Amino acid sequence: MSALLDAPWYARSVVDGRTSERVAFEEDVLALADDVWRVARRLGRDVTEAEDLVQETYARAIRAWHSYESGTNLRAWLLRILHNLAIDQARKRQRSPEPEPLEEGDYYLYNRLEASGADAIDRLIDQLSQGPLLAALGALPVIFKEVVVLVDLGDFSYQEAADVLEVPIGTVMSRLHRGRRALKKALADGSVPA
Amino acid sequence: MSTHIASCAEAETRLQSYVDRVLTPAEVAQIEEHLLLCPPCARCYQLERDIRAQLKRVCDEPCPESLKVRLRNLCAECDCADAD
Repeated sequence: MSALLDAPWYARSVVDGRTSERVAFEEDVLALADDVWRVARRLGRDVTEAEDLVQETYARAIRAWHSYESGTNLRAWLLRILHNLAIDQARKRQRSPEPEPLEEGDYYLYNRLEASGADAIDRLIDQLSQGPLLAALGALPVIFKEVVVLVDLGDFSYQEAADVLEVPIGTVMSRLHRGRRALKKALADGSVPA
Repeated sequence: MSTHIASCAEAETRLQSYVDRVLTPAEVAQIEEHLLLCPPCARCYQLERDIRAQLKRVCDEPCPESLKVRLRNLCAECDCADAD
């Protein structure tokens, strides 16, 4: 019990009236707060929206904790709840379906940079600073953004991302390709002279 | 039968799988051979890699402590479905 006495005041109260399994589950989901936050921060439009998303995710997770199958991927289970919330939110915000970014051919950026001279990519790499990168990511439609966030920020495998998003692995790959391409296009449009 | 990558277009379609490390060793050898011989494609690969690394860096923001406290309280207060 010394661990409990050493714990901060807010941690000490959690055992009241709850089974040890439930308390263990709470500790496991709380240990994933940074992972959930990083995804929510990119899916929400600002800090407040991200905080609301995370709180609602945890509220739902705790309500549904019995449906979590012990030993399966808890991070994916938790992020699936967040994904469903974010998709609902995006639908409410915008009644029409998500636009598909970039109708140009696959080699848009390649051709564009090639036409701009050999050092165009070097210039682009030099300019990969926080502001434009976050703006470009933020501007992606949510279905592309969340794949990029899961794979590129969360280091999820294609299969894990497919589990979170409940889509086939091929859909993950094509959304990832389109999402990254849209990101590069936004960055190139901002830094490569037309 | 040639196993070489015939064009930059072909290299570009494989670049994503290469960046994500999901190619077979033989496919890795093919794209690496192409990247070695083709500076424009090598630059494209560098761009892919750098965007990813930079994204990770700028988004590496831990959950605020105040939110963690709220989450802990929220977990403690929610007594739903714990009875069964």
